[in-house]
Amino acid sequence: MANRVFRIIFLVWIVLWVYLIARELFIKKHVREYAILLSRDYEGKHSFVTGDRLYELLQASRKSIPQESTYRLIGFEDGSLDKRRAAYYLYPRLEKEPADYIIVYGLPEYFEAGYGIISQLDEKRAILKKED
Amino acid sequence: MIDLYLYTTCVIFYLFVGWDISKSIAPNIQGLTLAERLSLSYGLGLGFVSLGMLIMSIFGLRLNLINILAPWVGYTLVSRLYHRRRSGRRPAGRVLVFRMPAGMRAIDYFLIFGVGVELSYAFFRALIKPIESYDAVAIYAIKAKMIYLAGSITGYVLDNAVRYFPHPDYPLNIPIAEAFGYIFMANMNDLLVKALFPIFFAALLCITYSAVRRIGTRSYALLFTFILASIPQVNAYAQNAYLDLVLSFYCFASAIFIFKWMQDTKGWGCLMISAAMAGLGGWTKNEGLMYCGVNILVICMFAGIDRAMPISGKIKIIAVYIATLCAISLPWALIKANLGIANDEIDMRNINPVYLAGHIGRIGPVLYEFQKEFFGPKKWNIFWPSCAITMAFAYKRLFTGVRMYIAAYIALAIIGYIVFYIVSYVDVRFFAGKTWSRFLVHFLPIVLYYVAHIMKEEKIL
Repeated sequence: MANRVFRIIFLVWIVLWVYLIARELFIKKHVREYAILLSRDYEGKHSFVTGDRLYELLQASRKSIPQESTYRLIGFEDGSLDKRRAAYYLYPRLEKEPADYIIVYGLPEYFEAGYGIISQLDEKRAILKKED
Repeated sequence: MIDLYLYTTCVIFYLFVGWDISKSIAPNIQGLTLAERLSLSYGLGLGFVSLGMLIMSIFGLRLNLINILAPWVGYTLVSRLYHRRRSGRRPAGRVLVFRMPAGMRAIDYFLIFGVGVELSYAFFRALIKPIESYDAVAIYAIKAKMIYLAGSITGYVLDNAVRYFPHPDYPLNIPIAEAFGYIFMANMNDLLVKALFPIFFAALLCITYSAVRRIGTRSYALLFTFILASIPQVNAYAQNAYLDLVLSFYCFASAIFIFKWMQDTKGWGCLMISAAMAGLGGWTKNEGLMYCGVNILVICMFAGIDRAMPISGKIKIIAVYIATLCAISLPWALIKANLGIANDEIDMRNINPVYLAGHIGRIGPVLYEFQKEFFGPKKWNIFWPSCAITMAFAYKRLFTGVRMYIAAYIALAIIGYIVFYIVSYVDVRFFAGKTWSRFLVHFLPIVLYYVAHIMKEEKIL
């Protein structure tokens, strides 16, 4: 009896195992994602997982903002993965007030008194610097 | 490519250090396979090297490669000389021969193939993507980057972690191990350091195989290793840079060596390995501290029931076990106390009968989320229903011999999680919905081992 039950469980397990792998690869389309990742270099992989548009802005911010400076993020949902990734990529720059720089993502033509644009990637992505 | 060679060297370094630590704390332990010894060595080596880095930082030493390696190289040399002198020279010309074991059956080849597929897939997924999932970036990778850039853990790094980043109270074992990988490669390659997670997965599989092999045939052990490897949730956590499978490895290894100690040796070796692994579990995730408590309770239970052991021996065992756990937990506990940081999800003062009785209604959502996991094949295949069916079939054997302690271990772990859900600040529906599927990974290998134990008389393979 135990043997028969075991065989049924094992058979169902194997069928589900194969199905779940196929589901992940083909229905959830991870194969496509892997193909893209394989074709990219180290930076390209980071860009893909972060989102190309956000990664481009963060790279520009790393170039424009000195390491000891502070920044504020505008257009990022509080506690979102994008905001966490931004904090990760921009460290040792800290998100802290008063901010030396403002990084704008997804808000068109953002303006704040006392800050001037130093880099504009497109109308929704910009880096602003505190004016002296 | 240079990074790959350097990171491989880093892993070999962990193995050397861990091997010598296991020889030092458990010199006379018997019946371990080479794969099991290497798996333990990896966990011990990684955990103690990162703990050593924390202690160095407390004493103001800069974390560069020479400072980190020097004490461990010295330790391994002294340890090897000491053991060589004690055990005498080995006979000349002795070599290890690797060959396929005789008498392999078709089912064995299939199960090995299945484990191989899952292991390869975990490595592939880990190494094709940089660290990108939420907690992995927001909690662990950021701390690793801070440590790497500062060349220190205490002071500026912890001050920043407390003020600007979430969960500063979380233990630093893996962030420090990631930072050590960067220091070893002299490059912040956050793609390659992810290899440490599938290596933990491989180590967990080796420990599982060896543990089940001690109670059953090769096919039987391969079957349970395959089952563990092919659970989608386990494989997912072997590559996403979360720490749940790492904790699972430490908890499982610590539990297995308690059960081994109970069953055959009753010597110090198994107990010391268990204590070290449990302590490193607490150094990996806060939940690991709960498992330290579970281990102590199970050992106390065994000591209370076992009449053969003298009372002084029982007190000594429990005292040494607790002292080992405290020694491993002390550096991080002191730092937390000094910084005044505590867990922001759980208030330990609420763990009292009055509070628990007043909030008993929170069990409802916890059980609801549990049944969703229990019947959810996308994450677990049919693991949990199969366990229930197996237990129903073998109900007479559920609490015989060492199984009583394994069952107690699982029950205490589940009770522990339910208590934490009840005393949590966070809305219980949200908290349970987000975390149950991860918490189940922590004790899943022990449930698997329990099922293997109660089914071994059935001779299914």
